Amino acid sequence: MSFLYVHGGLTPAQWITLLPILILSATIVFVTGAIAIKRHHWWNATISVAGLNLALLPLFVHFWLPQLWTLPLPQTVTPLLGIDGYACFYMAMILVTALATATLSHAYMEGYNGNREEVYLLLLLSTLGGLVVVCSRHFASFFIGLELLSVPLYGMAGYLVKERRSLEAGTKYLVLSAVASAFILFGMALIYSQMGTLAFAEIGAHIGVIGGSERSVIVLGSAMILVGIGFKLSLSPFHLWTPDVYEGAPAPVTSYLATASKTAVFALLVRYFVEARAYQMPSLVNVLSALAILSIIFGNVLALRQDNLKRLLAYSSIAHFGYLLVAVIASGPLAVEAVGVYLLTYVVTTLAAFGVVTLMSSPYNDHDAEDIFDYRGLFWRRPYLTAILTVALLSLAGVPLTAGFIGKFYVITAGADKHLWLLLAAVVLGSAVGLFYYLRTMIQLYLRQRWVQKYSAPLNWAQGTGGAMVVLLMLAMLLLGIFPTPFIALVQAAGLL
Amino acid sequence: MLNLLFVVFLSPLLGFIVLSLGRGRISQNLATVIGVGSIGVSALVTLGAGIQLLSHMPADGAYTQVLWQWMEVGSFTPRFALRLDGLSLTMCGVITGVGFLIHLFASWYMRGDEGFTRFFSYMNLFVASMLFLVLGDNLLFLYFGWEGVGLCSYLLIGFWYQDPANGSAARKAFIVTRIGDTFMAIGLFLLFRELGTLDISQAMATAPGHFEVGGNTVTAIAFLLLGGAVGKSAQLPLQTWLPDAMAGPTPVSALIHAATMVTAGVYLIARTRVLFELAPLALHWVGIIGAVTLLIAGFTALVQTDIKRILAYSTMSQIGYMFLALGAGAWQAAIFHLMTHAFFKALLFLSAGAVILACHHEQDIFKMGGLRKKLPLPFWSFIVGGGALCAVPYLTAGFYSKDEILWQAYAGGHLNLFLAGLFGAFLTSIYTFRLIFTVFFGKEHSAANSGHGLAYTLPLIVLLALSTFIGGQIHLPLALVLPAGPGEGGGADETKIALLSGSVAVIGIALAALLFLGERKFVKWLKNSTLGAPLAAFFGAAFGFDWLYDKLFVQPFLWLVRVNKSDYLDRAIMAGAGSLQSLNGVLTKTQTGRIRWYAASVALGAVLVIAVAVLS
Amino acid sequence: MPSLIAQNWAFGIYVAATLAIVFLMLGLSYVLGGRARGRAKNDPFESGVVSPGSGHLRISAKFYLVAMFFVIFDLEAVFLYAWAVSIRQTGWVGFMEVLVFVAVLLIGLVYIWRLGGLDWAPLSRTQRSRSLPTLYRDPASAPQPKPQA
Repeated sequence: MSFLYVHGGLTPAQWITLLPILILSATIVFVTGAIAIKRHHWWNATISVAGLNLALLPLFVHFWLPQLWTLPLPQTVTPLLGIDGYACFYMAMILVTALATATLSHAYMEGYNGNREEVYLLLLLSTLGGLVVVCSRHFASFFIGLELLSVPLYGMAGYLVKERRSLEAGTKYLVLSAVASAFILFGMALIYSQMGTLAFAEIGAHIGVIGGSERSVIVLGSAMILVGIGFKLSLSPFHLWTPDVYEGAPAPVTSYLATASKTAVFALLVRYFVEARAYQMPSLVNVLSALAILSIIFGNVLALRQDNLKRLLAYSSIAHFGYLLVAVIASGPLAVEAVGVYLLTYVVTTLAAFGVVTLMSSPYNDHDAEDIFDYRGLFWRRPYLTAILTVALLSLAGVPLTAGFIGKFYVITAGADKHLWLLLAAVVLGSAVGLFYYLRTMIQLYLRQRWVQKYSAPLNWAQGTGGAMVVLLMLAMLLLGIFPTPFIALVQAAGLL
Repeated sequence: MLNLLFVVFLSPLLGFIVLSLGRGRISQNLATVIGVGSIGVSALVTLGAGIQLLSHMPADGAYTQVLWQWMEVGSFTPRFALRLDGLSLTMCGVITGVGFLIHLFASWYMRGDEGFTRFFSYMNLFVASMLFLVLGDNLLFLYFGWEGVGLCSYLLIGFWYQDPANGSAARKAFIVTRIGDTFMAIGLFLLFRELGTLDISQAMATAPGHFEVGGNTVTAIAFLLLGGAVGKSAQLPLQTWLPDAMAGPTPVSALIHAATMVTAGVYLIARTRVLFELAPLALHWVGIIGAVTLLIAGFTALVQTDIKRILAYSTMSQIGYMFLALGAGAWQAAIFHLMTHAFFKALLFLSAGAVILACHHEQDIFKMGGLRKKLPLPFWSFIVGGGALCAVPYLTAGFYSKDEILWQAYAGGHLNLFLAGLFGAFLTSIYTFRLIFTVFFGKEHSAANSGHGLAYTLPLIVLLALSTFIGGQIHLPLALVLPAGPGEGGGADETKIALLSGSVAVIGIALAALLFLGERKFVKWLKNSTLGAPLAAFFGAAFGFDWLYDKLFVQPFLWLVRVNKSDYLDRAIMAGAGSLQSLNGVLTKTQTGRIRWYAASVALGAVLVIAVAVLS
Repeated sequence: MPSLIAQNWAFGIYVAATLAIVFLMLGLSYVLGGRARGRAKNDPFESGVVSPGSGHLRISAKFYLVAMFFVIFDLEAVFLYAWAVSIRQTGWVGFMEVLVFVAVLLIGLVYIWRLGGLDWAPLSRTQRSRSLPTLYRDPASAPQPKPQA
């Protein structure tokens, strides 16, 4: 293997830190070959899950068994990728999310008559994009990663090609995403025109000394990048696509879209703000504040009378990313910690909620179980599944002793630390409104139903990997709420500064 | 054993969880094993932990066990720790020891009841909450346990929920104590604002440096905490709920409304002693409230006819003694009386339960009589327990604690409190033996059949033993927690005071024998005399507090409710909700589903973002 | 403000002139152009011959597919040129990278081939019924699994 170490190649330490990305890439090639050899749903899904687990292994050992072995961090692999504790934390999170999505997809796709296997391929590709995004410290890798993250998602959203709404979701996401990417590219070009560099750190080093019209061009460029990122995170006023795509996409895809893709982009946003010192441009902070307040208001108000669970979760995710922005605006080490904790709790909770929707749904029916009406009286039919959804809704609402409370508490602490009273008022008001529609949904679960429902999870829902995953997620939600200290320590260890 | 301290409250909690999950699925025998066994485990662990604590007493007199730290955000580190010192050990001993005996008795008393499992699950939850209350090292957890026991009290008073009267008694108890709880919560908020901590030991350590003696804030805090204590311990003016609370099953009355929960107020004041010492006015009022309550309760008990109500008023008056002791600065004596009271009052309630069950749920003492022969064990229990209640000199546990209180009140120069206590002791003797003579002597009115079995005899015998002078010899390890009272360790007049209070008790018993043994001619004449009849009615109505509160609070409140029937006050709030709904309507219109408009909105948003970025 | 005008006057004149020319061209043709209306005026003019059929021609999707494959593989091949000109500088590392690159491409090709993306004609019914991988399986025509209880 000595040829790997020749001049210009990577050092062993760099190879090791790249392991998650390399393993995942190999898995993609492997799954492609496996599908070509034989279409077999269980086999192909298992290979994908095994690959994801393998990619997760070094990160898992690094974080949970540090006495055994740790990754040699931080490493800069070419100017494009920087792998540090922060990147590793988010890589692990994205991989876990992808794992959850893969198992949920397996439960979901069983009922599909078309080609079931490619969804794993797309999922793995998108995950790879996510890993690249969280490791990127350069506009080029950022954009490549972002596109690698998004393009497979178009296919995934429109995966059920014969379903009108799935196809519509895919098309909408494709077209609008292209618009957003155009904004990002334009913004990068503007910044490059003034800075002559695409690396975050170099931009950050120069930003203090630049002034005058050059500075305003950079502000303009950064604002355009924010437009693109705002779209990907579905912040108001770029949120209009969210409910349509969430509703149309197959339930497991929606869960991935709501968690992994947003986590990756958000992690990047924080890194960009810290490394490229965007905090030194107050106008950008103003933009973020405006986006945060609008997102909180629009998300919560739109969810108020929503009768479709998937759309409701879409609106709630808009609001949640508004809350998260408050932490970003607060800046500082506590803010990075707050973002980590909040994203962790949000991802776990959202996956659980969509997991239940997935287990209730099957592509065999002409649409997913998404009307709140479908969930009426679920408790009397599937009490344990209902318990999971209940905990997820409580956690989304931020009720103490669930994961959501810890996240929200962190955001409020970070905001109060920096005296962001206006934003905090929005957070508090938004949470109050949020409580209404989460509880409204919850009540439906426990109503006595007088007739047989069309939609119900199969009786053996808990026997598959998808069911096990959802149960695990509920335990994680409770654990995060009751005993968050180890997780907080994990996030603190993965700090950016 | 000390590191197993968490088992003490975890065991009843687990019992509660198992019993409530298994409701309808587990047999009564299994429920007995779980319900009683969990308390037994807890009692054994308390015993072990107590022995270890006392043999290796830490320098600060307390053992702290951190169980769980919720999170750590900046300087905010809410943690849950248990703290065992002499005071909480005493409380734990009473709660688990007496609690175990009462549970055991209840397994006999409640057998065959439809809600047997439910009963034990509530009881276990109660014990867990009560232990949480006394063991938590944080006022927040104390408050949590405080509300927990309130909830269990509510659930158990209304245990036989099919009778609406029980439901309304439960509601009354809950609402009246809630009033006190609200005061207490405000007091805790104030305390937190002032000291920045709710950790009990920390707060008590910093308070003397932070507050000046008699300062306004600390006085306000002490009074607010007193409000909470008064509500929980059924003292004036929030005492009205306790007699009604007797609607619950008798073991509940024994455990919650005599031995443990109602003494939580005493515990609270003893726990926050430092604050009360900084607010002499509040402490003075503690004594006065205790004195007035014990007199009012004593007078009321004289004319009651329901066996449990008599005992309820006697509980009220005995807690009055404890408050009196606290007010007189006799901290240790108050806790001592708390313990002996738990013994003999539990004994009295349990034997009252035995009597009630033997007489087929008859509670009117005048419909009983001559039960001496048929129910020997309850009879002797009543004799010993009643004797302890009246503080028969040297033979009973009650004498040792009550005499200590009276002596320290006297030695501390609180002559008014001393006299009130002395007169109260006199009243106690009369009403107690009125009850005993009426129920156990005289003509037989009804057929009665005695209970049997270990679950029936064992608790009565153990409590009976503890109510004699044996219970009075227990030395409580309070020296490191509570200061010595005035006149501690004896004084010139102590024997005189003991003889005085002892003779008052004996004279009271003799008077009761004179009045209530035999034909009761004098009593009947007195009851029908022009002066006696209205006075008896006044006493019978417990000095008309229920009537007064009904006129003062309930009626005006109902009037307000009627006036506000169409919810004027909520209109303002509804307007906010309505405007959100209309905003929702407007915003929903933006979700057209048209990709063209969506793309345009992205462009519009971009213009907005750029405008904000460039212009600000 | 005056300096702003001084700097930008040329730009202003440029914009004004552009607008003027556009309006001039459109306006003149509107004013001067002849107008005639008739039923046949809207028909496509095809050297005086009436055109048969619809303008919407249906072309087999295969054209589209093959065109796309061509573009993809053609573009990937371009990267080999970049490697070819720098073969000495990149050395063994470059060689290994290109090897991996080509291997991935090859697997992609195998995937397309196995799924029948390169077959020009649709498979016969007998072939399709064998459990060969297919590029696209129509959910509607596939056998339905039993709905779950």
